[in-house]
Formats: sequence, C-alpha cells, structure tokens
Amino acid sequence: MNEKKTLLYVDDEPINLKLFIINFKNKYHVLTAGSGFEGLTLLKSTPETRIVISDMKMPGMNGVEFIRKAKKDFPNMAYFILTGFDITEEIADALNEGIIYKYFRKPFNLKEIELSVEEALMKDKKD
Amino acid sequence: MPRIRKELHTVDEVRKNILDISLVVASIIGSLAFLISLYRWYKYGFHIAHVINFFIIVSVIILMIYRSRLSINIKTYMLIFLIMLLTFADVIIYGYLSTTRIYLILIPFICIVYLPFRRTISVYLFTIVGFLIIGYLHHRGILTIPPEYDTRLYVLELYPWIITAVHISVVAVIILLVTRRYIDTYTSLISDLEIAVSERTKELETANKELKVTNEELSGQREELEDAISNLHKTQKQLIQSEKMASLGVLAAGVAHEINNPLNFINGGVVGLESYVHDHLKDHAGDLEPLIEGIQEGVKRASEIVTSLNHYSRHADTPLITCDIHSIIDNCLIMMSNQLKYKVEVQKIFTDKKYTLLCNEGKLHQAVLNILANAEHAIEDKGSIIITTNVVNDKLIITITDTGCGISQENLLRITDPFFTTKDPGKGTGLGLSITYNILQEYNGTLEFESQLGIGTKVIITLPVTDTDQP
Repeated sequence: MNEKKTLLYVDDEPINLKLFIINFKNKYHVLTAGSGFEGLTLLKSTPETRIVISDMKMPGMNGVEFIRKAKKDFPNMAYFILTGFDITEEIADALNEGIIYKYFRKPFNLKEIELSVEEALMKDKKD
Repeated sequence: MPRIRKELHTVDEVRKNILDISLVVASIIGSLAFLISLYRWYKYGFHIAHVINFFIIVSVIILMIYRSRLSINIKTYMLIFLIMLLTFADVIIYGYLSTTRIYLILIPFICIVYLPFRRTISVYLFTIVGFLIIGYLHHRGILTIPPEYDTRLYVLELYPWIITAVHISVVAVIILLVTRRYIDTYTSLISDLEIAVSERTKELETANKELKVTNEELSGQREELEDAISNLHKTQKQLIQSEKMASLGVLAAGVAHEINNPLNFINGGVVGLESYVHDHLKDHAGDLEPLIEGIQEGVKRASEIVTSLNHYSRHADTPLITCDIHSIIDNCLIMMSNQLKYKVEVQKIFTDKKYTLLCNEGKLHQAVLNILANAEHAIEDKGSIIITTNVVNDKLIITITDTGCGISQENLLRITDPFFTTKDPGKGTGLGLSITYNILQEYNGTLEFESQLGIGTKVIITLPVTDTDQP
C-alpha cells in the first residue's frame, strides 16, 4: 500500500498534463499521454498501471473510445473520465456497462479524484 | 320533371284526339242528318243543296277513315273548311230556314284548340261576317229561298225541328266530349302535378335538412380549425422559445468545454500553489492565502455558471420517477430556512387530491427552488410567501405568491430569457428562471407569471399528472 501506484492520465492539453503531475506526484506515480493512441502504446509498456484517467474530447479518439480499447487488453485497470462537458450519452453508456468506474468534471476536485481512486483500488483489492 | 313532360305529352295527344272525336261524331250524326234531309228531296224535289251536303258528308267520312294518317293541320283546316262550306251553302240556299248554322259555333271551338288565338279570331270574324253578308243578300232579295219552300208552312213542319235537334246534338256532343276530355286530362294532370310538387317539396326538405347538417358540420369544423390555429400559435410560441433554448444548449455545451479546460488549468495551478505554500512557504502563508482564496472563489463561481449552463443541453434520457411535490416544496423550504426566517412568513395550502407526477426529482427541486429564491429576493424587508397546490383536469397547479417588489410589465416578457436579471452584478446570473422554464418544458409543464409592481408576484406552474381521482 505504501508503494505508489502507477496512474496514467491522458489529455490533449499539455498544461493539464503538467499540472496533473504536479498535483498528484506525491500520491501516485503519474504517467501522461497526449492522445488515446499514445496512451495505448504507453499501457503496453507499463502493464503495472492500475489507474487510467482520460479526458473526453480529444482529436482522433475520444476518451470513451480509448478506454474501450484499453479495457480489452487490460481489463483489471480502473478507468475514469475527466471532462469539461456535462455527462453525455456515450459516457452514461460506458458507466452503465461498467467500462468506466466514474466520471469527473473539470475543473477537477483534488479530493474527489483521490477518494474515488482509493475506492476503486480498495474494491480492486477485494476482488 | 319527366312526369310533367309526360303529362304535357298527354295534353298534346288529347288535342289530336279531340279532332278525331269531332270527325267521328260529325260523320255519324252528320250522316244521320243527311239521311233526314233526304226527306226534303222527297217532299220538295231535287236541289243542288243535296249534292253539296252529300259531298261534305262523304269528305267528313273520308277524313274520319284516314284520320290517323293525316296531319293535324290538314284535318283542322279541312274540318273548318267543310263546316264553312256546309253552313254557308245551307244559308245561301235556305236563308233563315237553314238548320246547320249552329255549326258555326264549332269553328272558333275547333280553331282555338289548334290555332293561335289571333288566327282563331280572324277565322271567326271571317265566318260571322260571311254569315251576315249572306243574310244581307237575302234581305235585299238578291238571294232567294227556293220557291217550293213556303216559309209559313215550313216552320209548322216537324222534321225541321228534328234536323235542328240533330245538328244541335252534333255540336253539343262534340263540345261535351271535348270538354270532358279536357277536364279529365287536366284534373289528372293537376293531381299528378300536385304529387310531383309534393315529392319535389319532400326532396327539397330532405336536401334542406342535409344542407343544415352539412352546415352544422362545417361550422363545427370551422371551430375545430380555429382551435387548431390558436393551438398552433401557442405551439409556435413554445417552439420559438424551445428553439432558443436548444441553440443555447449547443452553445452552452461548446462554451462549457472551452471554459472548463482553462478553469481546470487555473484550478490545477492553484491547487499546486496551495500545497507548495503549505510545504515550502509556511512563513508567507498569511500573505498568500487570501490571494489563493480569491482565485479559488473565482474558479468556483465561473464553474458554477458553466455548470448551470449545462442545464440547457437536453437530456431526454434522465430517468422519470414518481415525485411528491409537497415533499419537494418542503425540502426547498428547509434549504432556504436560513434566508427565510425572521423575514418571510410562509403559508402552505396543499391539496390532498390524488395524482401521479412523473419527473426527475432533482430537476423539479431546482425549478421550485429557483422560484422560491426569487420570491425571497423580491421581498426586501418583511413579507409573506403563499404556496398552493391543486389538481385540475389532469394538471397539477402550483402557485407561489409573494408580497415582494413585483415585476414590471416589460420585464415580465423577458424574465425567462437566459442571462436576463435585474439583480446587481454578481448577485444573479439571470439563469434561474430560464433554467426553471426549461425544466418545466421538458416535462410538458408551463410557467406563467402575474405581477404588479409594489404589490407582488404570483408564479403559476402547471405540470401534467395522471391517476387523478377526478371524473
């Protein structure tokens, strides 16, 4: 438990990626990717990743599309969406199917993300 | 119509018939008269008159035999000619002793049936003038009665009486038969006409009834159309408003994303700064915290506005559950209890009628809360809010009446427009009623306002409900 869990954050905005690392580096080993494709490649080389948080609106592949692909190869990771939009039908479907664990709104709430991630990890451990 | 035409046809037949009857009667009784007149031959000897009479009676008989082959005109003129010939010859020879002059009556009688009135008059005048001329010639002695006739003795004889009686009978029988025929025909024609007229009247009455029914239907349809038009106008108004909202929804969704991302930068930066200050700049915390708090408050407010904008993007898939409007209102009042106490006296008049309201509870909660918050804001010092609920005709009606400052007539039209506010900058976003309107619209509800400046505002919400215990 003391060992930092690996977390992948995917967002097409470099500032978001940089700030995310700064704010979460104390708790997690944070990896970042600028797109869904990059994220998928990165996951292949770091299968120890436990948490994946992705932006929704990105060029090429949106968050849910990326997570659906990632979930196929790595079904044991906990997936989250962090979006500037309100909940969309696509996100709601993914939530209902259990593809994503939860969705967060931008601007992010540090506490909310930390709590949910812990919750997902605990649940993961129990299973 | 065909019936009447048929009857007219019959009248035509009758006219033809009359001529034939006259010919038959004239041949039979004429022959009889001729036979009787032969007595004269026996008594007074041969006279040219007998030859003329014979010629006439034979002609009449021929006409009678060929009556069906001859045209009416020929028969008419022949008959008139023969009558004239008979009468005039008789009068020329026997003068005042002539017994056939009675036949002159038949001339206008037959003429009027077949000839135009003027022609009839001319023929008759010709006849009567001819008669008078012959009379005058006798008077002047130019014409004389045959010497073998002793007028004084002649009038004492019986046979002239008989001959006269026969001639009168010919005329009488013809007039009788013809008139009876006419009367019969016209009587049946008139009764047929009456039947036809009554039938027509019935048809017209039926048609009239049908027309009335059609007319009623038409006026009914007109009313329906008028209703439909007024409904269309209403719907159009609603459509315009919802169209505004829809385009705002698209805009809001786009703007929300574009603003949320930079807000995320700011937020991320501030969170980072906060922990950095906490970890490394403890001494400066006092100076830096107000600055950080200011940034955080700004992010919070901006993010709230963006979040409320998101209400405009439609979510048709939000789950509907049975809502208890009374508990929603009570809940809102509890949430607002801090603002309301010591300031506003709240009076609730809730209905106990049965109903089922299907809505999203959270959204309905927000809608009611917005209106209550406005009511509270409208009351400056002290006042009251009256909340009533009622169920009328499958509609739940909620009224919220405040004794606040009221809304001017021109503002009333704009209060549901997004970003319209009369509050001071920073105090209201101008989205509350717009969102409320949108939420109610989503559940097919309506939002109406009655307001008077300085007296207060009454907000009327209606929402469709089912399972009411009303008939």
